[in-house]
Amino acid sequence: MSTKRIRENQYEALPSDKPERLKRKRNEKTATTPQKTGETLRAKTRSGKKDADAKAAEAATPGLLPKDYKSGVKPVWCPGCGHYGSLSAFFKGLSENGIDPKDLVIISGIGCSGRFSHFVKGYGFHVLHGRVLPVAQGICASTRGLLVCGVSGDGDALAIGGGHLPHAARRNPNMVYMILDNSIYGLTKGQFSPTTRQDTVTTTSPFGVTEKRLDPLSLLLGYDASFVARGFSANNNQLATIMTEAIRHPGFAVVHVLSPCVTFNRQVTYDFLHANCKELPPDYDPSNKVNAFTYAQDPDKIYTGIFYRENRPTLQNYHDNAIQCARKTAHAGDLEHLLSTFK
Amino acid sequence: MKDLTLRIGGEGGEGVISCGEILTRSAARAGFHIFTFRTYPAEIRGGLAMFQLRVNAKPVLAAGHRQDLLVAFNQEALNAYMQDVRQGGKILYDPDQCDENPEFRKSLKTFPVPLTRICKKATDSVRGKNVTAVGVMANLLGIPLEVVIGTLKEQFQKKGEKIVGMNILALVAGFQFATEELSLKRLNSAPVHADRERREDRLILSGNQAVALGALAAGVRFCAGYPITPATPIFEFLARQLPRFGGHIIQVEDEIAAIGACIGASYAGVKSLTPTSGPGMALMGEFIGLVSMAELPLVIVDVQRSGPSTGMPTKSEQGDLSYAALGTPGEAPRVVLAPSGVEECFTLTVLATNLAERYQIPVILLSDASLAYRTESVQKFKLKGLDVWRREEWHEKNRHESDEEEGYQRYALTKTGISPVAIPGTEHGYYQATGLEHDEFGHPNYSPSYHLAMYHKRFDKLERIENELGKSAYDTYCPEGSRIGIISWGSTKGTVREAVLLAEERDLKIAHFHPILLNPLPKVALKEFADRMDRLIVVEENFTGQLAHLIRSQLDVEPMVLNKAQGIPFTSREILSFIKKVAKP
Repeated sequence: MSTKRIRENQYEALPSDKPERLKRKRNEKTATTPQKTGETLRAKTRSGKKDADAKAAEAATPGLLPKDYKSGVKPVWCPGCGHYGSLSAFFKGLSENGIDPKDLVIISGIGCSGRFSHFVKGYGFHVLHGRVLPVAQGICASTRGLLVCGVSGDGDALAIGGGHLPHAARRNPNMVYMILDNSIYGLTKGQFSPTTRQDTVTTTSPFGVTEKRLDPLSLLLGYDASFVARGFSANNNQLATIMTEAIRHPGFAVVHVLSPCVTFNRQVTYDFLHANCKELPPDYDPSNKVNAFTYAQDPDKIYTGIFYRENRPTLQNYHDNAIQCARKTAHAGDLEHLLSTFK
Repeated sequence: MKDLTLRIGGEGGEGVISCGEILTRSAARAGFHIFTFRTYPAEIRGGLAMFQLRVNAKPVLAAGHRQDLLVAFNQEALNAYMQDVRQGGKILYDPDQCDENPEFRKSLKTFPVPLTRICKKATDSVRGKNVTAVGVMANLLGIPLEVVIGTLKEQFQKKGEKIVGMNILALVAGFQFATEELSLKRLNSAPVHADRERREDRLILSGNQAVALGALAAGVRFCAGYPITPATPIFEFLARQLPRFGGHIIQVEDEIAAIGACIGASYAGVKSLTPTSGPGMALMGEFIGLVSMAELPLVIVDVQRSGPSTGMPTKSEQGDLSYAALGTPGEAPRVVLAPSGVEECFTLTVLATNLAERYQIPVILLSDASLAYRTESVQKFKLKGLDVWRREEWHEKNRHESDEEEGYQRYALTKTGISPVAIPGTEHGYYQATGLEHDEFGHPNYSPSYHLAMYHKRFDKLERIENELGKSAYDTYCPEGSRIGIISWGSTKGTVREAVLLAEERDLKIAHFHPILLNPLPKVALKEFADRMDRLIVVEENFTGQLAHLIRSQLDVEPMVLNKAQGIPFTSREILSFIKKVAKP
């Protein structure tokens, strides 16, 4: 059992065990996969877990194929919906990383994208509109050994839930966050969203949208998200690669997916996106944030790919350190002693 | 020894509260039972701050009515609190800060105590004048000087030797002034109570501290919150202590995120709690519905403050009961518990966590500002043998028969009404938790029969909880022959009970019913109580009588109401005078 969930008693039973185990895993990771040095941090939770218990994991999940991650519940999206592509790319990412469904938690919001969690084999929590990030971060902070993935639409992530985004980015929880953006409110049948282009006529903007379109990538870069990527659901190979990398990334990995709505959005269509999307150049350096802004705000092309990534300590790292330090203080964990100080 | 109530008043930031705290701790260490009440402005500096301390050799029920002693640091405090001093009570004032008109000076009950000057002379600074005041009062109460010095040392330890030394000088100067120059007899002529040796078994702490300790004892290992008066001290306490217990805490961007993160942690199998107050509760409304629907354990501590909206953030009120019991669009069952004192702040936090876990339901603990900041000396909480429950977890081993065919049924309809829950990471336990109406598997299901069946599943828990708690859901006091019954809830219990006892001294037999379980109400016991009485009075610190509403809507009774909505708690005399009016034929 690789999960290291912290529960009362359980943690107290192995106070010094945890750091050691982590260290061992990290060593194994560096030993077995000579990759970019920055990526060793990854070993902390996700792929590290996989490596440490490689045999056990293989026995439990003998190379799950993308299709093995289907929950059995048939998606209810309209035929042709971009979300099908997003889902299949996500399956590929899970398969690439050999994720055991029992360690997978999908938190989804409200909207067409909200049903996402129901279609994936794993633990799912279909929460409130706009509140994917708070719930996901609660799981990230309190437990270890799970792959936490959040799924929102453009309204969920950028309108009603927009206030949570900068703070999640600051905390850098080790999780994946997918924003399936169709630039329209589909579930409520065609109202404009924060990413709908200005002047667009929709059911709630009969004289055209008056607000400027919001640029999710610039926001995320500005908010200091540690992994910022954009994909197009019809460019499935690239999207699958992005998903794979996002799952591997040790930190808050946000994937903005252009995921067309074939029913209510007549403007951001497959044709439009095929004509305007362009992959980032092969020599693109994802560690250069200024460059990332430049590409994100390109006036002509909608670039796709991994715009920015950096390795920095995660919410989990900070919490573990805090606990490690706190547990070294005198009388740590001794409630009887704590009571005796009240006199 | 006499029952003594004293009050300290001054400008916010002058050290009124810390003066009161040092005196309280010293008094408790000297063996007195103590009970405090404080009120202060919402501003960091300025405005009127007040600390009231009641001391007695016997346990104290309430904060007291009129004062035996008032110490006024300035004119404003003198003007505001003078009229509350009882007949024969004494007023000490700083003549350098107050206007001394001849008439005022002539009065037998006023005594000039130049706190600023005494302190300046002793320490060459005026900053310790509140400690000088502690010295004066400790002397009058008969608290040994060394006890106060011990308390002072602890209080200022972190600030260094120099500060400790200065404060001791300021203290001793005040103590000596009272002996040598104050033509005032010691208020407490009795020797210090013999109970002193037993103080090892006692704790001196506030309601907020007791809640935080209760959370730790109950096994809460996750907390997310957003600072809000008057719940912040719980959050700060847990921020310091949770990591020492291997737990996690995050300060998040708002109360929506706070409850959201707690729900996430709870979903992942960790006991979670969020402390907040009215405005935060308002933001949590939608999530309370989700917790109910998804059937997850969660504890919300609502330290009520005077509302609505921003209201009076530092003042107390029992204004959130209706919202706690019923608030959320749609019908979402939840449990509401209200502690009546510091000890119950501990025990009911444990109970809240236990109920949340066993019944997979949100539990709201309703404290309030007066209780949050009230200091009491209580029996040391027993940790050994403390009943701590954990949710029934689903594993392959305890697979339900119906699981075999189609997989794990998270929301299985069981005889106990509780469906075992799988924690993420558990083999073959995957399921969907959702705010959508669902079937046993958690799959969305909008059929009429499922909606009804699931409503029953969720609401039946309340009845089970009412049965589970039985007689421990309320406290009742019924003197033989009482025909008038008072019903109260939350922090007013002691005050009401004191009024009832005072009435009894005047040959008025009054009964008292005090539920700690407010949703569901202990209906059977309450109905029995109501049936035995000719008149019922519901006493509440709010404007509309929210418990009275709940009682009217659930039982066929029509109680009278006694409400106080002024941001300050009832005194037992106020309740007594109402009782007298009602009892008069």
